[in-house]
Amino acid sequence: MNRPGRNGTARRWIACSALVAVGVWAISPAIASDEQTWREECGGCHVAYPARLLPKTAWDEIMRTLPDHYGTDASVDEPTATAIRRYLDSSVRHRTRPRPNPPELRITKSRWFVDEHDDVPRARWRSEAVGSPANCAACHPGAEQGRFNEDSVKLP
Amino acid sequence: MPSRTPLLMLCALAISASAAPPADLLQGWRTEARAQTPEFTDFSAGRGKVLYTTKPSDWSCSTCHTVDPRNTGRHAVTSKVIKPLSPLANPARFSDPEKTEKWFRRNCRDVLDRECTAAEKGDLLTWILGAGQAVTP
Repeated sequence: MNRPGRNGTARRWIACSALVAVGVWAISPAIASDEQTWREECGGCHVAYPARLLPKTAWDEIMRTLPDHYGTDASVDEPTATAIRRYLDSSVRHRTRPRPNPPELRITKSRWFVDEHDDVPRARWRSEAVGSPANCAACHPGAEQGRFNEDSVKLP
Repeated sequence: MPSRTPLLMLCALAISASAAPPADLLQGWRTEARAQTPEFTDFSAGRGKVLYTTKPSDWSCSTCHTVDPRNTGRHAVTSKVIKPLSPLANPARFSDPEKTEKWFRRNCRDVLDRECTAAEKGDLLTWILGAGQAVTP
């Protein structure tokens, strides 16, 4: 039996459901996960350096001094800071051996970083393609995803 | 049969809730500027250009965003690539009021060592939206 009325109603409900789905997607940043918040805020001016690269004491100090973050203002509102701290605390490596006090706040000055990159000529850091040791993505294509495997290094 | 109008309106509201055009920002700053400064009339692209390129400290806006906000920029310290600042080249820019105010707070403090006024923000955005077009001083 031909029921054009019911087919039209079904199409309208499907269309509206699609619109609602798009709307939910559009407002999804309002309910971002802690990791998404960390990645957006801490990846705005540089690679979002993985939490494992510094001890908790260093991250605590960095979060405390965001208005003067290595010479620039990286301040966030309190809910955002809380979300970032939650993510860092859940991702940082907890080590039992004593850490330096005060902690080294620059990843690029930490002993492991210097040792790992001791074969990189100083001039390479200042080259146009790299700029500074903070620019991980210049040589580590997977830096934005937290991948720094030596096998995947591509020197510019 | 119950009306479907309210549900369709909710769909439209959900879609529109997350984005706002730059004109909305300008209108808000215009109202604020008039309240702060009685002699304020309207924004000026000429003043915006001066603000954008003046270097009162080590940095100006152009240090990271280049002299033309339609260009891809680069962070002065980290060398991270910065997508174009201008909505003419990057339609997402200035569509999120919260994000816009956050970056104005940070970057005005970096360049001017203080927050920008509503008039300054409006001047800057007015110039950015018209970048490449002749600006009367």
